[in-house]
Amino acid sequence: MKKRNIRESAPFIAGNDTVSGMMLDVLIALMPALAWSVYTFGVRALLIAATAVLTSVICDLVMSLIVRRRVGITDLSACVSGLVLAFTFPSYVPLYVVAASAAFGTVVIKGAFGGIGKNILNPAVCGRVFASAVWGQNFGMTAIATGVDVSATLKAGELSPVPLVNMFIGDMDGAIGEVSTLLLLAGFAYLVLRKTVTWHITVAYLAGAAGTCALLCTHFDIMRWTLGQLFSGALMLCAVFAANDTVTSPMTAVGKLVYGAGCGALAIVLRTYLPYGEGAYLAVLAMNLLARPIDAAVKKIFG
Amino acid sequence: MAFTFRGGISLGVPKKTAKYKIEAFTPTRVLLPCSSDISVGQKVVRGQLLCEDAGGVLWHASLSGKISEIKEIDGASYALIESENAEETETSERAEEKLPAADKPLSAYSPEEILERIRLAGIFGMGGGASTYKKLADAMGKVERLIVNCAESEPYASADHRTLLETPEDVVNGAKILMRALSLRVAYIAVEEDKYDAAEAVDRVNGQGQLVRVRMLKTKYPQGSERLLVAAVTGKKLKRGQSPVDAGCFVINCRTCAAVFRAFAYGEVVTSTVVTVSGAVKEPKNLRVPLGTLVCDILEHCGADADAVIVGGAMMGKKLADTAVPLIYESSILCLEKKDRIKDGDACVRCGRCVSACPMALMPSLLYGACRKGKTKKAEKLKIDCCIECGSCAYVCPARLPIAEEIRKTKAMLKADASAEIAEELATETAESVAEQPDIGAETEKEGAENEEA
Repeated sequence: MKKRNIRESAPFIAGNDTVSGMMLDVLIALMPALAWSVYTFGVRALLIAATAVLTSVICDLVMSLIVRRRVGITDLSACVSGLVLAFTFPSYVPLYVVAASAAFGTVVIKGAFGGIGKNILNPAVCGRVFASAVWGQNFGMTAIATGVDVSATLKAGELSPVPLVNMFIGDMDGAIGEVSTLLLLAGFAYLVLRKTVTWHITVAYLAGAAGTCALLCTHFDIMRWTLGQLFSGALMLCAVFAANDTVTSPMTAVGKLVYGAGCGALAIVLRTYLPYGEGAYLAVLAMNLLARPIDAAVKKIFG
Repeated sequence: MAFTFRGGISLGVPKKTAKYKIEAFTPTRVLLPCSSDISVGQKVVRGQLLCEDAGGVLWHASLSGKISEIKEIDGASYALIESENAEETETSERAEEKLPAADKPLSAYSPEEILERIRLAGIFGMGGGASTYKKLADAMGKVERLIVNCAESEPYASADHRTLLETPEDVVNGAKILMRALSLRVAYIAVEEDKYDAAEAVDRVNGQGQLVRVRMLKTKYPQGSERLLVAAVTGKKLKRGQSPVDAGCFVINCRTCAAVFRAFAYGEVVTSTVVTVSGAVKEPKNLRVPLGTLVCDILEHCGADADAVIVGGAMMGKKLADTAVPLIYESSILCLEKKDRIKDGDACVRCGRCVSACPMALMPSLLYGACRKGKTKKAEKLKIDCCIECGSCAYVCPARLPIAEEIRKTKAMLKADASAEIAEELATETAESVAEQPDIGAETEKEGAENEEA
């Protein structure tokens, strides 16, 4: 579709897509997973989401006033970052931790670089890494009711104690928005159908992660161990949303493939060899730094 | 397999203007280039030679009447021809100057004869504007296939489409004449899929003949660009700096091709052009108008109520500040209203849509950043010279950044810099030669002084 557009210079028509439209699509794509989290974790999940989104939006507003740019709230990008950040927390997280990490992501990572489009690192992922860096693995909670620790079992090279089907649907313990692989993939399908994102990053991410799993697997049932890795923790959230953030990923198709595969492979490597559990997040941040160089290299090689 | 090129954008909507038949519209005045020996008050008849411009194009009067004014536009003189009254126009129509019509079969003409006829008919590229005679003369012996450009991918433009649909025999025969002139064996009429009816019309004219073939291309902007047309038809991408002729292709616009035939068969010189009028007008139309018809006269004829008038296409055209200008090269007029304004944005979110839309495989968003900050070195490194200014990047940009505008500005600046450099070189050369002269003068003075002393 096209719209007519009076301007001083050509082109005098424009496509229908807008940044806020894209962000709205991402929000819609996040909705199934949000609904599931409310269903499984209760109102607490909604509270976490609201805290993260509200803090992000307010901080974004303040930052855009400070750096005197167009007020950024209308583009909904702060809502997206906030919601993705909320998805990475388990339901028992204290709300002040959520608010602080949302503020850190929006002010230090996004705002200080010049607001939307200028940040090099993903604000949501940075916020999450900030939270575990400051408050530790359990976010300062002394006593938490832990269910089965899937990631620790997988790290030990054992198969997941939760059946794969339950993991796929999201019937397990974990961060509120990360548990349901199925609903995150539904969000991805929506985004691709709406042409908000291309398939490249997510598909390359999953392929890269699966390939690395196959290489590093010490269990005889490679297939089940690999799927256990893909369905657990933050991997699917990173594959569909965090790595797909347009601002911090490459723009060329080949670059997207390289970047996605790198994110996926690195996530598994870090999961396997790092003593703590933020492998997928750290992988995204590391590849964020490489997004621009990857594009430059692609252009150099392919003209 | 659909023939196409990499990148580009799909504008999605079938063109509404394609269904209107070409109507003739004769205004009471036209404005055309003229030479200095034309004077006010002189009477001219349609087809009478007015001048030859710097590019080697011959201009003929497109209307019979009296010269009422000579204007200076951009350093060239233009004559305003006004037809005195309708009856007189009617009678003088008959007193039209023409070239002698072809009187022997095509095979009896030598390429030189054909070229001379094209020159005399004042044919210029209706897509680009350069002299067709010069373009042909330069391509002689260097090309192996002819491509008639009927892609017409600009939205709101249907002049080529309607011409091919209504007079396919003119275009096909024009192509045959050009094949003869360039001694070619292969000719394609390149048509986008949305102009299937026109392709069919060509097929009907062709019958069993296979001399001129139709090639259907995917409907995608900017397929009409010469470079991308060659890429789509031949399957070979042009390299940086390579022209279509270097790739063995002679590309000619569909209406230019028809003009070649009419000049050859009927001895008609170029006096009219087809223009699509659309947008905020009462009646969108495809009009055949005399060359040099004033845009404002056309607008009045179509009942336009516009806040802005765009000529030459929505994607690559320009906005007219003053509509009292002659319509010569452009084949579309788009009228916009105030409500059609969309605000430009300011924040790139690196979505990469411009990168996948760019038919030249550039990085428009990075180019935009470099151009806006005035980093010309970086822009050159990003191959700004390869940009064909098609505007696809700005069209798809969800942040509505004026990408094409910034790139165009920087390109113009770089061009000006380059010509300034050349001028500077020339200036220093002349300055050096001038600098030598005062020395001579000083010496003679000195000599003179010495003489006096002596």
